[in-house]
Amino acid sequence: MSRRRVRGAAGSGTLNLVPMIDVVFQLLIYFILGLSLDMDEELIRTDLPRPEASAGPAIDDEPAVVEVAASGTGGLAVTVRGPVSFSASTPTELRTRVREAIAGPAPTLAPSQRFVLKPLPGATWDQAIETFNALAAAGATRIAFWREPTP
Amino acid sequence: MDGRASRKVARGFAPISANLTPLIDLSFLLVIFFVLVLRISGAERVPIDLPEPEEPVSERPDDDRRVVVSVVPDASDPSRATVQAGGRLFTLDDEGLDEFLAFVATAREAAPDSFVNVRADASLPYSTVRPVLEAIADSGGAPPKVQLVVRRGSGS
Repeated sequence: MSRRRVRGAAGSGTLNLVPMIDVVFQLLIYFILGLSLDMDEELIRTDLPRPEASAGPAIDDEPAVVEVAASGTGGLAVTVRGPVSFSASTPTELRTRVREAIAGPAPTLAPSQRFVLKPLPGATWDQAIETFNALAAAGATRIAFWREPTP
Repeated sequence: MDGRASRKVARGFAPISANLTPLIDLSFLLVIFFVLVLRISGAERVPIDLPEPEEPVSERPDDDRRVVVSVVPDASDPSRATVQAGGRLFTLDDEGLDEFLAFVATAREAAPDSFVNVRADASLPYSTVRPVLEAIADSGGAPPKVQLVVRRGSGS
């Protein structure tokens, strides 16, 4: 009689783990998906001028100043001044012109040419990045953002 | 004979149970891993609309040490912004920029080889992002190694 009671007590002590495993796997799926959503971010390396670099006389070559403005239609209006001068209205056009100037049949710019990106008032961060990317894609290796010389 | 047969049938239905303990252990470890990683990456990846250039020359991020700086537009006035870095919030006035510069200087002093990753919303005026870039450039020590964060479009 007493043996039977002991057996019954041991048999009733099992846990149903299935709901817990369900929940744990749901959590796993949630975290895995949440983690992989932003994996499309990438990096463009750049170079920021120090105040002394922009104001000082240690400039070895004349930089090509690339002015970025917003066009009336919300597009891009880029003007390049310096060793070469031209305008472009799309990133593709800018890339083609700079590539020709650096690596075309009659190059007018050295591969080590410095480019200084100067977004004008009204230009957005998106337009600045588009221009930076177009210059880098054209083969420019020294690109920096413009900085007003400190007095 | 009948009795033996019934005993055999009873043995055949003996309960078979899988040991679920290792599975549960592993699952909980994975959950803890993903919770921690998501918390860390969530602090670095403030949801903003990043620029998406045509034919980007960007590279996949690697495991370099980094300080992630996000310039986030205000919900009420999209032309204004705040800076989020290291779990802290900085305003873009003189006082906020001084605090931000001190933060970047301290972070770079602690890890001189670290990169500074700049994430800014594509719609922000460049004039809003410029003081942030200048503060990073002025943060002392060796010239800062700055990387601009973009989004690679699905078509590129």
